Amino acid sequence: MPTNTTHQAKPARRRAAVNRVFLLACLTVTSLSVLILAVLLSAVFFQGTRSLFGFQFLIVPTTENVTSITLNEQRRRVEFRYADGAPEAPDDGIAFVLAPIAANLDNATIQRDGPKAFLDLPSSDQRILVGNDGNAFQRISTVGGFDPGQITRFITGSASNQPSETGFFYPLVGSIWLLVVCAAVAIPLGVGTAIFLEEYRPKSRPIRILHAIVQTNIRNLAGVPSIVYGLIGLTVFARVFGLFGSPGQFTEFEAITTNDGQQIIGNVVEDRAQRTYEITTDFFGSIQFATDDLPLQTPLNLGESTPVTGSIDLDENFRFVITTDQLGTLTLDAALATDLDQDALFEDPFQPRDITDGRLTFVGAGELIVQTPDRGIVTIDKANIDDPRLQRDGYLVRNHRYTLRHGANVTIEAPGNTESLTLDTRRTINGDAVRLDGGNISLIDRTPEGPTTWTFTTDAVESYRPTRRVQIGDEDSLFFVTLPLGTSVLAGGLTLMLVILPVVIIASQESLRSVPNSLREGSLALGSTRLQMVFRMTLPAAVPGILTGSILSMSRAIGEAAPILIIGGAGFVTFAPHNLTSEFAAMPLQIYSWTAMANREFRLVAASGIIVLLAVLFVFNATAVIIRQKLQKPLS
Amino acid sequence: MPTEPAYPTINADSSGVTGRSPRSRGTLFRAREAMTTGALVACGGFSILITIAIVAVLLVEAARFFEFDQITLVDYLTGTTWNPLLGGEDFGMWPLVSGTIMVTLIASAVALPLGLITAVYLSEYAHPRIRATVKPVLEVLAGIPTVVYGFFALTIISPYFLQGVASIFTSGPDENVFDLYNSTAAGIAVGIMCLPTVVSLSEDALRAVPRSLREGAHGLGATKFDVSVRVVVPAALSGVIAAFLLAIARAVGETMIVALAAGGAAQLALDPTEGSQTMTAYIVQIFLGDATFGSVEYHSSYAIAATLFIMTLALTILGNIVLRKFREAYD
Repeated sequence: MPTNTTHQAKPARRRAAVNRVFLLACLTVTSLSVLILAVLLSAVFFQGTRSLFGFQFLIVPTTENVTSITLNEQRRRVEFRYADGAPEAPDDGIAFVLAPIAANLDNATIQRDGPKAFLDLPSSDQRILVGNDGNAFQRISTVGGFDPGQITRFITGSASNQPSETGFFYPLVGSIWLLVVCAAVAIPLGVGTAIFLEEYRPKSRPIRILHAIVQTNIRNLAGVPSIVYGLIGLTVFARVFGLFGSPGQFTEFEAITTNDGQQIIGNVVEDRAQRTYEITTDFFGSIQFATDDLPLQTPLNLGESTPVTGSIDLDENFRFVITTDQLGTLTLDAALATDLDQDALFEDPFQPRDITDGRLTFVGAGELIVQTPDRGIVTIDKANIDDPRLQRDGYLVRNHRYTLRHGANVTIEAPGNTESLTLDTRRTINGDAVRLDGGNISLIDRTPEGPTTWTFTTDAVESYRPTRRVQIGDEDSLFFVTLPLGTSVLAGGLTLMLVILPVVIIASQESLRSVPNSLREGSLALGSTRLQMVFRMTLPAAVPGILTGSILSMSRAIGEAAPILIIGGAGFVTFAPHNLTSEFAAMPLQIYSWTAMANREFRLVAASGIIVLLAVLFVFNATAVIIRQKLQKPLS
Repeated sequence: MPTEPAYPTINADSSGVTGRSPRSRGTLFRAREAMTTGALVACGGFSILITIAIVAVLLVEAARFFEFDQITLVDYLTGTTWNPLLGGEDFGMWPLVSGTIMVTLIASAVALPLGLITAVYLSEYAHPRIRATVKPVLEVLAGIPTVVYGFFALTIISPYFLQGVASIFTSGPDENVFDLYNSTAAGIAVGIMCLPTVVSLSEDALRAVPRSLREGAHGLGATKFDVSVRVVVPAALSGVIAAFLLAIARAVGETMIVALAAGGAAQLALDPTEGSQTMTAYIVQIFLGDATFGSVEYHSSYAIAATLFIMTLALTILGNIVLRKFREAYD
């Protein structure tokens, strides 16, 4: 450089040396990024595969004097038995214990106790194996530290608080749900915006201004941290600005419909599963009894009866002993008899009688004890419900409305004021929460001044009507939606949509821009309108690029944890979503919770989760690459 | 298609090109065109709507935070203690902001030099075959979810890498210089996460410098080092700075890494060996603990998010301005 005199003065040899040093630095730094990736992946795989396939060995030194090595029945203790009078000879053999990682052999210690020695394992597992490699014994079994079944168990397993048992199925399915919702909204919107920005030439002034603002705005949107999108999603989607009440304000009830069409709303506090039968004897009348292990060949349906023959006897303790061909021998408390023939009982009670024309009838299927917000504790005979499981209906109540009888006694507790009064007319009151305490009902209304509580007895209630939260669609359908969306798949998916929309737009813009202008000009020259040109020429030509960009942005969505953590998906979800309102678990969130857990063993499980997540991402990226290579034709 | 005439006919079906001008087509067609146009404009408008929603929600919810009696804007902007939980009444943002700055500085110290040098190497020195290897590696690094980096920071960088480096300089191996949760581990992981952004944006800028400049410098006897450092990098400086700013914006907004590895103590962070809480990690902490709607903590997270949003928006806008205004055009 002739202008730079100092530089010119440097000898060429020194400059060449600087050049070489810099090249070396470049090589070092560049290989560092490759090294980082290698370390990161191997760290994850080393930890993850240990729990994904995972077993560990413990090598235990033994002597030839060990006569047996056994694992006790609880699979928690390994027993080494020594020959009588064996000295503590130097170790010349080894035994091994093979156990899953969760058994945590690091803390296992051997205790010598006379002719025996124990190795206590910190946890039990069906997969612990014991063997020895010494001279005296045959190997019991060899497993190469690899259990392919564990992968299946992990991927299809449900959540558990045991590191060795927990699975990744619900987060996997939850992530897929989120992704479908996210893609269904983000791709059409993103491609539409990209077309608007790249292909649409606005004529009117306001739209031209809009065009310019959107153009500059997209890059700013792409720079917004995902956690901010999480908060926006929480306010806009999960809470819907509080217009429909806040999710925490709902009381969960079940609605049980009885056979006569009555609906009982409340919480089932006890489900008595007992089945009740009635046996009719010729002599003593009918006796009801409840048993689950009635030795019947064919179980009866409700109301059905079958003929019974045999004998009946009353023992000294006033217990009926019924012996029949169908039932075997049943001993029943005489007090259970419902329709007892008193005369017959006094005639000659302690003499055995034959049952010649008896009948066994199935009279009841148990009871549901329901705590209701209007009638207190209600007992429903299961015989009054067709199928207790089908007739129950999840019921989220936002607002409770009571109509109280004339003459009812009510206590009203407002901030700074408590009064009791007797109603001189029928009165309807509203509130947003109910507390039940035996026969008393407290209705709590949250006013801006503070909570007002109305307390009255169940007798005072003339009618009760809960307001459910806003529901759209049939509850069994896939597209069932309630407002506010709350911690639902829909809210989570839409929030992720906000995060990746700018990415989809930018990728689609780029692939539209790469379509050569000659295609557009040719189309216009043949007389098509601009829109026809876009949808018949430009867009089809840009589809491979758009598809690739969309898949890559979806793979970003699948790894995003922060926004859906704000929506509230970090809970312990033990089911897969079944419609858009369902709560969800998601892969990155589950990995976060496992990593953050106090129990360090979960970090290995988190690493297994990461392997599954990375495998899913790999499939996405591979698909994108294949699409890019197979579908992209040279256009110019 | 051999059976069809090669030119458009007058009687072509509706899906074909008719050759008539758009004005002469039917009302139905025009209505459909108008509807499609409307849908496209609506798509464009939606992104504006998102922006408005972000600003409005953050403003309104943060304003509610300042409606609480014990909180004033001045305290928030100048206070040096942050203690909102369990009835605490200290709401000064600086402990969280300093935590964020600390992590961002460490991340920048990792990502910016490494990223720029890698970019220079890839654009000026590297054989195409090496480029073809390193580029995908960086793409893979860019595609790894941040929660994985958090895991990496917590299980590898902090206990093995940092303690290992520290044990070289301290007396004994038992001495723990670094806490398990510390800003340095989180910062390094954030830096690794930002590295692909820096490399790919700077490399684009470097490669945009025309060949003639390089050839001219070589012709004057410059070495490859002279060409790279004294010609190409200065020529692409606007692009490189923009890449830096965008990467820093990402580091500021990064959540899962700091939530996992930086710890949860909101203190004026001056010691990189200790834990510190960043703004994003605080928001995560609030929503992990089921913040009751309407409480001070709930609204404080929106105030913090608004501050975070302003910081990252400023960096992003600055980056885009630098890219646009100070670009040197070579044609």
